[in-house]
Amino acid sequence: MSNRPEQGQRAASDDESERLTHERWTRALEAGEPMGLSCGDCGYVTGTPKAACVRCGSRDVSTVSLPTSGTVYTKSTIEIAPGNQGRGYQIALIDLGDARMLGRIADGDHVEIDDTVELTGTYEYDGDIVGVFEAR
Amino acid sequence: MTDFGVYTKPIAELFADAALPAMEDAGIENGDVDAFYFGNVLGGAILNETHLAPQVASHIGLPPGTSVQRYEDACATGSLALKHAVRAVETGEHDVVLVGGAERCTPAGTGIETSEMTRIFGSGAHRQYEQAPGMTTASVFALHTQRHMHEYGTTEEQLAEVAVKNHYHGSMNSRAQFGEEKTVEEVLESPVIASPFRLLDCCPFSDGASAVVVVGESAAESYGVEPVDVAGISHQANASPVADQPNPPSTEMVRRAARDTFDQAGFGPGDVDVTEVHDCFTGAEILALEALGLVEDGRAGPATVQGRTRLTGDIPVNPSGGLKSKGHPIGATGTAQIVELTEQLRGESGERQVEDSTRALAHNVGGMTATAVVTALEART
Ligand SMILES: [Zn+2]
Repeated sequence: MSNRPEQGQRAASDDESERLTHERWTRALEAGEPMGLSCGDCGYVTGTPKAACVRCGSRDVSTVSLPTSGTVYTKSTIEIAPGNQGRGYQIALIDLGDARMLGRIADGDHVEIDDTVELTGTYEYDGDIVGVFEAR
Repeated sequence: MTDFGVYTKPIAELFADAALPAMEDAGIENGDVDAFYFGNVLGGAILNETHLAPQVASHIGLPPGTSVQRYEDACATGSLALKHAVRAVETGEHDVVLVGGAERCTPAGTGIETSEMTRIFGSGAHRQYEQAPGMTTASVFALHTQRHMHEYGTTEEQLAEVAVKNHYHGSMNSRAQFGEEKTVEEVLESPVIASPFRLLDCCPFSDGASAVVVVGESAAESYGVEPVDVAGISHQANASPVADQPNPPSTEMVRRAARDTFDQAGFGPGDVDVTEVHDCFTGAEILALEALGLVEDGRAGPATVQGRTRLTGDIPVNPSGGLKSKGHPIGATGTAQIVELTEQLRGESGERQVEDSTRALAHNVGGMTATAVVTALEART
């Protein structure tokens, strides 16, 4: 089947109301239902909003639900940070299904590479919301 | 280039201290300069100064009619300006281009406290998806290095050896900000900044300036000085945020830039005599050695411990002391690497001279491993 748009029409994925915006991504995260984007051409899945595929440039990207549990790809404990970030916190690149996302590890928790982690809440810094993860 | 350290003088005065000697060294007069490409990263955030190129050009006396422009590409700024200078000369747009950078970003020189300076330095990270969870400049290289340690068994002791080696080289460089030698124990006992990096795994906050002159191939010798050839230069980008980078510790954009640069130069990593890499953190030098093809993947830690990257080793890296010891005034770093390598190829490096150097390589990385410039230089024989 062909779902290519006729000339002059816009593909569903190119419709701004369908696009994964920062606002939509944030609301989904706050609801505990993280969202990403899957590319219909190359299959790459990203964990944060884009206007097109970051790997191949295709506009044929559609929003997908991401799992709430994943695996730690790498991590670091940060002692020197901007004042409002505190210190001694951990950040981690987390593989959520096929997508990878930078998350903050819950205060007092500590994770290692390959640990299974779960999205348990959100953290706000300077008006932006990110996912907080805990070891399972 | 200036000594790197702490300065409180205006940016234009700081740059003049690098630019006027560079033009004298090249044998060119102010009126010969067709274009001036100036690198500066944090002037807007720290000094409330943007659009610095006309101000700096005026201060050093470049005549009206000189095409002047500022470049900003995080820590790769100076090399990006150099790339544009090389391309402008190659295409015949300009015959003589002055290129360099200056930065004032030390807490001591600006009165800005370390945590606030850490926030400003982090502005190269994606605001929504990297700054918000708490990523800092140190922590992006820390994330890559932790994964490298996991995959290849790289150790904190091996990282410390990078710092020890670069401080040893820096002890022979009068321009170095921290030119005293360090021991592995001192590095491992210093406080954690972003694990696995400790204070002595990290380059300092630095002020300073550097400059070089780029001229066309045929004109080079007419100035009566000893030029070196830019054999190749390539700029490649990587995804931002880091989460979207393929195999993050591979610094894949460096691999693309190195391939392209070696293709242009007609030689390969095995032919390089001396290299300056972007060792903003010890782990960054480990990743660089592998991405440039100087050692195979996973072997940079052991190669460092074996002394292969020392002045006397078979792949001397960062004879200047690198960012680690010499310092890292962001916008000045790229062309400072070129100054060091030019002097090495001319045999002017004194105690830290790598003997019989004819081919050199520079590696400059910007932002959250999102930009790289790799440059190959060659002596004229
Ligand atoms: Zn794609």
